[in-house]
Amino acid sequence: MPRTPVKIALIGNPNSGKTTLFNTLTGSHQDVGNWPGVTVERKSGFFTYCDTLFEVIDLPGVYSLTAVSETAAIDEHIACQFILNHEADYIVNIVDASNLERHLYLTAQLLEMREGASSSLVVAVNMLDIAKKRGLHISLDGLSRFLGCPVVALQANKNQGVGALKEFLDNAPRLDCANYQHPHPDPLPRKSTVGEGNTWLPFQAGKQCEGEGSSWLTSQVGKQRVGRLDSVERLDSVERLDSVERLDSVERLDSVGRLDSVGRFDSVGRLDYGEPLNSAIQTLATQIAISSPGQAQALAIRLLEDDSLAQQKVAPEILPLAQQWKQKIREAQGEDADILLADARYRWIHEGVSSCISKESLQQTSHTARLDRIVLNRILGIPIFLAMMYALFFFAINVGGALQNLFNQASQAVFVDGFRFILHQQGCPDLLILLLTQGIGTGITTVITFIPVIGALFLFLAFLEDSGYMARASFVVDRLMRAFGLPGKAFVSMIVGFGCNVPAVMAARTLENRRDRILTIMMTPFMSCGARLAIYAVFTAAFFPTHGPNIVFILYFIGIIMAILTGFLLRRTALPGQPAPLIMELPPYHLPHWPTLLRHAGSRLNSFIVHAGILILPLCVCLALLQAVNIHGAFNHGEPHFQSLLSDIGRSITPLFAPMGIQPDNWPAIVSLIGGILAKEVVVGSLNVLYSQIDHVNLALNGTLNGVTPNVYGSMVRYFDGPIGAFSYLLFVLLYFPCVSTVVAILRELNVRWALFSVGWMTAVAYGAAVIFYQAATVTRHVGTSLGWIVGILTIFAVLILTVRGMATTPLYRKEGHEEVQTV
Amino acid sequence: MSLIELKHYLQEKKIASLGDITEHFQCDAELARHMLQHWIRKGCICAVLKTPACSACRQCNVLSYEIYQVV
Repeated sequence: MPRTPVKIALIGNPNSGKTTLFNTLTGSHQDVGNWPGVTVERKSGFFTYCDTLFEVIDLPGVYSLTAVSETAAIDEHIACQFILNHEADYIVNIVDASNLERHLYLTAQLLEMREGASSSLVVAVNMLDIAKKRGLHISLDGLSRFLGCPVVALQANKNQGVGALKEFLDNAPRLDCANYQHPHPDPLPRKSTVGEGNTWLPFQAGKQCEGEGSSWLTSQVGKQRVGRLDSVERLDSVERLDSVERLDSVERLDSVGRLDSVGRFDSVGRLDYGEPLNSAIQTLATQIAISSPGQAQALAIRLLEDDSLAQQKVAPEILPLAQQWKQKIREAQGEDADILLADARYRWIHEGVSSCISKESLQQTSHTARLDRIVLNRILGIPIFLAMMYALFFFAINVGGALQNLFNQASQAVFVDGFRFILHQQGCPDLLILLLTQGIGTGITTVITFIPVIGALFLFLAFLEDSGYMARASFVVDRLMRAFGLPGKAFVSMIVGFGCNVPAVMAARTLENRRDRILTIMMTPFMSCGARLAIYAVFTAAFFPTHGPNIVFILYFIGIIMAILTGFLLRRTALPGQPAPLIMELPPYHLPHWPTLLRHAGSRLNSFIVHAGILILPLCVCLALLQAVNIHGAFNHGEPHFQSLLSDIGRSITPLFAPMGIQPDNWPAIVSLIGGILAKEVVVGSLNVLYSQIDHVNLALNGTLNGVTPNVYGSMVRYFDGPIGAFSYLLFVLLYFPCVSTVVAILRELNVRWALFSVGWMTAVAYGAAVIFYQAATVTRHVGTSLGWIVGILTIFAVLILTVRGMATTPLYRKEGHEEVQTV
Repeated sequence: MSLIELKHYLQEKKIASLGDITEHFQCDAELARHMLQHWIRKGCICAVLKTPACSACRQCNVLSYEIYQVV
């Protein structure tokens, strides 16, 4: 009989470390990043601890639980709905120790929901190491006492405190937080009482280990419930002296009696909000309790805050009553009820936090502030950003590329040549040999060849993200974006797009208004994803052996410019309005933690390789088959043939691409582009299969290839019009048709019309840019034709833009774009 | 710092940078941003992001050009 798992929900502000904890608890490899908004939908995973099965649900990061309008970000709705429905047994609220006051706002709202809740609240204080570096010392005991709920210390990225959390969750089943009483009724301890067992606990990163430090890490709760009373002993043996010394070096806190003066939530999760708020909550709760017993208190508070989810949960006749009370409060206090409620929470938090935190007087500016002076400097910001991007491609192409040949040749020797030799020895039929070697063997080789370049890219991206630079990049580029009327927050999604466009489209959920979301989604597919880098790597090796990183940098840069131009055009035509200003958290710089970095990059690489392999292998088999069969359906015995079905299809559409420099016999390049619609990873696989087969055909027909060893690079050099033709082709690859997964993501996030617009616009831009580049670069060969093409393409684009602008004024478009743009 | 105090401060000054606000209330920028969002949602305050007019000292950081004003 299947066990019913204990459900644990992880909730917290964006970038508080929820997903890191989720990954650590469940052994999953969800994307984490040192910027807000990485998790945009709920995810769940499982772990077993001491025979108990736990289900962990990772909710999107939220700053508060008040869903004020239908237009609030979707991720916030998901989290609010989940909490309001009390779907979990435990709610683990992760707070950032270095920004405790801000993070506890959400905690205060969670505490308000204790009445009748089946979920127990546990507060996990994360990033204590950063707090310590900032000179903040937090009394976990004091915090636990102040909040009236268990407090656990964590350093999720180093897997510290996680064991204690597991043990706590396992040993303290169904802890009744509503009636939680801290085991020490005394007020907060003073410095002089440290030695007597009161625990001022500056976090000792690296000193505790799984299972060992659990008792003192779990504050006092574990002692009472789990029966572990050895924290004092542990302190004696581990940290007592250090604690005392540390207290000497920090500002003395006058904490005696402070807690008594700080308001506490009562047993039904209510602060003293003052009159007439208390009366309003009481009256509304009484009315709500008739239809929704168990959460009347929380719903009453949220109704006064105009919470749309709460409005849906109560009986309709309650709403006018809530409205009357809001009016009464406004008249009595001169402020809206939601402001007064929020104000009461902030004041409560401020007083409580002041009694739990002591701060060293820092003489020097922290290194984050010092670095930010340079990185965010208005003159140096953009050049530093470009230098970082260049370093990224230099690392990927030069370091990764150096190993590419080795991987390629080793894989070719094993999976293609070796495989063919064995199959010949076994006397297998020609068709089977062809499918297994040219199909599966070449497919595997293609995927293996990706590994060094993509791995290097992901490693460097992980380094930039983990260090905290990526969040700054958005801020730096924000100025440029705003000059074009675009929201700076869109660049966060665009950066995500460097890895893969699908999560980038989903990351647009974090934008508050729909117009900005649409704009961002239309821009992100222009960002070069990892799969496109694999194509660039092949072409730079063949055509630009000495300037590879420069070419890749230019292509990425063109992608960014095209995205910004697209956004600009949409802003001026279909989606007018003012962008919301970028107000985002700038996380402190972290010194990268190499094991985390490698795990993060490895997990992305693994998922990329698996995804690419699933697509590439069957496609390579299909291509090999189509190449082996002629138009009459007969099998070309032995090697593939020039008159194959595939070559006939390819030749028939190749003339369409002649203006961008694709020569008539270079049909493999066009067939590969068709495969790229499915996924960009497929392009390299197709090129690999088709060019290697062409070489074999040439070799069979002529006996030689003019002294050149038959390989893919050699074929490409022969079939493309030199570096100009290759660059024109790369431009097309960069900009054309987003892959099917991205189109589906756009469809899911927006609608069919925008998905079709993205596909059509990107392909048109790709064709236009490639043709204009090729014709301009070869203008001396055919002046009249080139100028004709350039003028023609530009005219078509001008007409297209004017048409979109005209359509934007029609009711259909106005309806789509219509939305109140928030005045921020 | 309370929400009401924050509003009064901005009403008095009409316009203030995030740096001014954090300096006045001796609080973190993140907390101040979070609290300001309440008033922004209410339409009482708006955020105006400006780059400083001068470029001589090159010492200004984000806090000085993230500016809030009373609507």
